[in-house]
Amino acid sequence: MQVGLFLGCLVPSRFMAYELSMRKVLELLGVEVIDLGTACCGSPYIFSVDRKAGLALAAWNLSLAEEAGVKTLVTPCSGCNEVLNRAVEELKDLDRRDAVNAILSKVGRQYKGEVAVKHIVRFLYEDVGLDKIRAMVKRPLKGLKVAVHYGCHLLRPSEVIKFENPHDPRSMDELVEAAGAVSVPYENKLECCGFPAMPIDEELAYSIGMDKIRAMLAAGANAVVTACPSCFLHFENTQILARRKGEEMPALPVLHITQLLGLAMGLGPDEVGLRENRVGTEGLLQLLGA
Amino acid sequence: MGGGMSSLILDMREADPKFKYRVKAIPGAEKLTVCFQCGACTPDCPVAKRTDIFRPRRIVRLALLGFKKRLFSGNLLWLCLGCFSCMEMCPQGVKPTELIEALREIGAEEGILPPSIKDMMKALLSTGRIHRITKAREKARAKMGLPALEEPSMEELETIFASSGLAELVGGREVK
Repeated sequence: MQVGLFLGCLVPSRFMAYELSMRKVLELLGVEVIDLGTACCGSPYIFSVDRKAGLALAAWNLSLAEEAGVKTLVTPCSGCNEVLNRAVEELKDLDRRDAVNAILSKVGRQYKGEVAVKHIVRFLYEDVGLDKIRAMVKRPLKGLKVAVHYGCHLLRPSEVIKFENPHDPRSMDELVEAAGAVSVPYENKLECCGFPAMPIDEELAYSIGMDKIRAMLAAGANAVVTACPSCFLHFENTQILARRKGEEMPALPVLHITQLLGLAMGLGPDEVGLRENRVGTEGLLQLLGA
Repeated sequence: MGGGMSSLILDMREADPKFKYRVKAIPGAEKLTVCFQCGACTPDCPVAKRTDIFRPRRIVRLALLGFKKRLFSGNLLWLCLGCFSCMEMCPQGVKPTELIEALREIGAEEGILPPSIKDMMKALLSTGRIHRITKAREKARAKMGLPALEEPSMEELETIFASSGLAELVGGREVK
């Protein structure tokens, strides 16, 4: 199996542990990856500033993948997942596609609408499959109670992403359970992490993040697993800020989904970049006996 | 009088009945006028739960009635997280999240954009990335065994961006 990688910009610049663990997990599963000279997706904010620029940028990025013969473009970032899938959906309209291709033709490119964009969670769940993942698990994460955080743009808007039931998703819970851990239910599990409020209202972003972390801790979670660099960043930063504010609460380690899967597949802490994580991973390593 | 209460009273002299047509012309906001104000969009909104001023239902109403000054006051529209919870609940397919994006776009055209968002777009225009891979990060990547990444072609991206009004909207590219 061969896929193109769309890393976005937050993952390769700040969350290299997510990239590293994703590459290692894909390698273990026999998936070949192709790196492309793509740019940023523009972030979901681009549709709030200049929608047409957002579509043109997405089409340019997707045309690079098409030119490289990529049929499936895999991204670890939920924001990129939403932006690119929205473009794929909107550019099914041939008038819009022609308008975008008129721009792309100035740089000798064309978007044909032949590439599928999948979040890494979706790719693992749909294309690789739980059976293959279970078969690769060498060190089941027994005793680990995980709060699964789906975040928003892996699932929503469902009419664009067309993945799971946005009110009752299963993919991440089942991946976590395939790794031998337990997924614990908690209040407001499907709510946003609060990160997008950061540039506008830090207090609001903090309060949403804290409510989620408190709910996860109350449910007895030893760790939270994320599938998006922004959610990951926000759950770590919120806890660091809480400690600075003198909040007394146990540390809740934050893990990228591919770090958790990699550890279960027998990768060492350095092979999944665990030293990059900033909240409470010593306790986690003890628990895992790694 | 409490600020919260007074903000609920609307003076119809401020209304612009034509505004809704300008909004509806933007893709994603086409179904603005089929909203019947049921409010299904609002209970699950993480921001509505925690603030007094932000309610998706109210934003749709203000857009329908054309209360531009209210909509564009402070950071109201930018409080939306873009989580799309409201969009999953709307029985009329109004897409409040995309409506809010359309309203922000109108704001941008009129020169209203939060500085933090401007900065992100400026970085995108000048480097092709909102978060750039600095020399220090390149080294850190190599140390972790990650491949060097091909940088996007700025020559091509400049042409792509030049075909839009993005640079003008955010006040030019970032000064390197």
